[in-house]
Amino acid sequence: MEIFAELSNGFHLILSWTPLFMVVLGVLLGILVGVIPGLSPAMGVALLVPFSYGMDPLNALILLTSIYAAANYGGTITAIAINTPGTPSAIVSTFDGYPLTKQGKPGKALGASVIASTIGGIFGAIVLVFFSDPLAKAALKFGPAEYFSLAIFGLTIISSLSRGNWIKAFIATLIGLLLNTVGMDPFTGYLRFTFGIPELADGFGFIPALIGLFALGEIFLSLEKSEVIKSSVQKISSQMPKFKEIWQIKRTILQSSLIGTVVGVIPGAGATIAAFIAYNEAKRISKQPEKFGKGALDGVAASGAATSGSVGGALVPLLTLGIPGSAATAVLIGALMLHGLTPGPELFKSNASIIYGLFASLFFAYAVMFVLGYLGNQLWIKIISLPRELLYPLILAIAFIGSYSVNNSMFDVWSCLGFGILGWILRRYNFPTAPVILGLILGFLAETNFRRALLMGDARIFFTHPVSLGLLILAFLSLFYPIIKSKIQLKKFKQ
Amino acid sequence: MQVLMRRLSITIVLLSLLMGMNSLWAKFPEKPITILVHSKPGSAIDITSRQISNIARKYCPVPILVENKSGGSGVIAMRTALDRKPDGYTVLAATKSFISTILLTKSGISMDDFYFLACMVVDPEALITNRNSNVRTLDDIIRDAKAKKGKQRWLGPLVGGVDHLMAVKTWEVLGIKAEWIPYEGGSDALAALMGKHGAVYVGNPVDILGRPELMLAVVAAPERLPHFPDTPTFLEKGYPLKSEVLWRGYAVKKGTNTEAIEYLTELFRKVSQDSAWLRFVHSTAAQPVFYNHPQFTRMVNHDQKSAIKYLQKAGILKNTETGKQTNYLQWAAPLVLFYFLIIVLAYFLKRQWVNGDTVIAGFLIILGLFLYRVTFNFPTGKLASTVGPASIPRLWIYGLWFFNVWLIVSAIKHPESEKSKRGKVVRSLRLIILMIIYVGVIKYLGYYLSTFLFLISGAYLLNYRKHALIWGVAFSYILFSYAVFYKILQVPLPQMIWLH
Repeated sequence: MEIFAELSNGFHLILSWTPLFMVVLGVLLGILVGVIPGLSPAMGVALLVPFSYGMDPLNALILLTSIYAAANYGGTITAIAINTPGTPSAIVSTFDGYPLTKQGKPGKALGASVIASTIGGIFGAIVLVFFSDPLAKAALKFGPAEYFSLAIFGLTIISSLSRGNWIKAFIATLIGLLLNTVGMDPFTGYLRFTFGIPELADGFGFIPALIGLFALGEIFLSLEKSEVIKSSVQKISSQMPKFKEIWQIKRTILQSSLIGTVVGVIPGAGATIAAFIAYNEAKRISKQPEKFGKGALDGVAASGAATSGSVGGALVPLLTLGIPGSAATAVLIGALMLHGLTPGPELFKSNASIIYGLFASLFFAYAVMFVLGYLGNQLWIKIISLPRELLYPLILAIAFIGSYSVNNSMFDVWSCLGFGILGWILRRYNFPTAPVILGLILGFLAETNFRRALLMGDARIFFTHPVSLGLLILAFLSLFYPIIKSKIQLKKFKQ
Repeated sequence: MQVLMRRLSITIVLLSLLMGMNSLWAKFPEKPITILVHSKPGSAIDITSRQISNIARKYCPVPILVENKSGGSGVIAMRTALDRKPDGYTVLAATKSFISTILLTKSGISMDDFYFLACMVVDPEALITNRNSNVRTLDDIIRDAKAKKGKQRWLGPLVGGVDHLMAVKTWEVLGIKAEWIPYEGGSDALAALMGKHGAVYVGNPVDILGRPELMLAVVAAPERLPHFPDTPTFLEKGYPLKSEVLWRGYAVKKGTNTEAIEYLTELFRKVSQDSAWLRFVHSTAAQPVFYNHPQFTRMVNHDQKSAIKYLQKAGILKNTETGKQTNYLQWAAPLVLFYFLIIVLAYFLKRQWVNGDTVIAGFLIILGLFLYRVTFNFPTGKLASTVGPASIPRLWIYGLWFFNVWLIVSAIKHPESEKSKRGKVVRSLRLIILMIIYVGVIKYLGYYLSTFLFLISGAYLLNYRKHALIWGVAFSYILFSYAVFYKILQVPLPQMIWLH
């Protein structure tokens, strides 16, 4: 096996002080970037590109990929600890991670997240090393019809996020979809619903919306319940999940890693969609689906594994086709070119040692991430043990700087506050807020590909392409299955 | 004596003025120069600017920083450059795409607002095809286009952008018709070309580097490119497209003092001759150039004329366009009034009807009405013929109406499902107002002071009284944000207004 020889060469190459130092530094910085809301993995990588300039290409690449890998995990930490997704994809970790924290069990959630993220990441790396060629070829087959059907499939996840009231879940999704149409229409350049505000030309910032709806909305709501504040001063346990608990959810972790990797390969889909789909599937195979949303450990693990799995996935089209699979890999392309390397299949011939060194470093990065994450958990638990009266203003201040630093713009801060108030009102009246985000993510994917498909042909295209048809059937099943199931359960309950 | 005094004072004033002028004139640059980039890190113009900032270190005593101000296809960066002082410390990285942006977005910005310092890179436009498809060369493209009768797919970024205009121009010159399929970005369109979802991609030679499946069909250069000796030019095929280029250059706000302009022009000239710079540009298959202000301005004006012509030809820019301003308030006000009327009416008819669900659902229905009215203004031009910009928003509005009516009906049918378990709204409102004040005063007090005050007043507002802990946490957070955000991540946090 040639590939094993190359890989072992790669391991030899990085087994010296500088590359290993780069891995540790990258993972540390990555976790930090992930933890800070407003700094996405892409921005973290971008911020370090100038620093990597003076290094030799392999070390630079190791540093940047380690940041990327760890940032995706780092985002789940704040999602679990303070209901503030540090990165967009970590939003799914809030669904069950934050309830666990509220129950005084942040250690379990944080521990499950780091374990699942490590497994997911290593899974993605293995796929990257061994299966990147066929996967990349398959990803190219994704045309507008397939993307549209994928978006529709993604949207059907709302029915499992609805927690009973699915009319409200649909309304929340539609709010997100409608908010998503604000900004420049990609097909005509026309500015829709911007009302002359130049900052809205690109629509509402995704990160300010995320921070507002989740962190701010949650704080505003929980302040209303004065008695809760008093009673929540309970013992916060730093206990990590036991091996048995992780072993019980092994299937969820592996399945989510696979979903994360595969969805990560498809350019334009990415970690967030992967995490949503993995969560939905984890709920479907769970023996206790009713626990989801209330602190199910498999929910936390599904999100972590899928998010990390998508890293290896997103590197597949980057290295085999020279096409970025995610925002962060788009920055990596820029970094590679700064070093005079052109990403693409020729890199395997001209600079095989760099590629395999990079592969080897990914495995190290995940090992380091596991150790640092495990140790770091104690620190996060200390922070969330602060009294809430102190913690809440602190989270608001973090929300400010997080939404500000996306674009160095005060407009984003104001829109974050606006989304906070929206999130508060929605939560107050039992509208779920996660579907708003789902609408914001998938609206663009659905609209542009729908219109593109129609530009290319007629509407039959959605049903004649097998992948597209398959995804639409899946969407149909996934939409109505939970609704029908809950109706049946309700009937049984009434009898 | 008095005269002497007066003379003396006049002399002193003049002298001090002169000295002041002197210090203004003599010492450019005395602080770091910032290059504003309109796209996210990693883009071509970003990498180019970072290269320049790196190479310019040799020739310039102050650091040159790159600041990314992405958004609105460049509107945000241009706006930022115009809002800052014309002192030469803010340099805008400009590309040909700005012309389309300015023409399409009606942002009130004009190319004449800028003084074009130097054009550094020109990148010839090229038609790119998939090596494994049966449309590979220029002749294939023309034959295939005629066979498909206008259904041949050309892939590329945004409608009205540089590449689209190049396509429209090419269609005119070649005498063919084709369909422009826009993608979110160049790399998405390239992936689509690799997946054979279209026939031709309009781009630059750099796009095929490292992608062996792709090939250059033809380039719009005066002669064959040294990197690609096998690729023919339009000219030798008999079509007059001899120098269509995408340029990257640098500009400052008009009215910048001459000393700064001279210094910066000279700096760019030095960089343009640096061997590291030449190596970099050649590695991207583009051409390093140095066009000074008059040459650069001529090129910009020429491109702008051509862009207007082809935008009109493509049906994007209508020559009868009147900047009609619609007063949205005119529709919004009656709708809001109507909404409140309904609520009041419902309240008197039956109190249970007015609850959280119905009020929210009613609001969303009214909001839908308003937005629906706004969609009437959306264009229905040639490009909107299949599914226009209004159709998808309308679809979501229909959905919003449907489910909200349903929600109202079910809320009225089962009023008991509305649980009254809510606590004190005042607590939340107080913190929201404090947050609004915090964000509002940051402009005046600067980030550090206002954040410090916010953290402390927030904790006291929530009835926390452990003074030492409050002040300690607030202080350490300020230190943390200074170190991490300002120092390491170089986020330009808002400063106190009086410091400027």
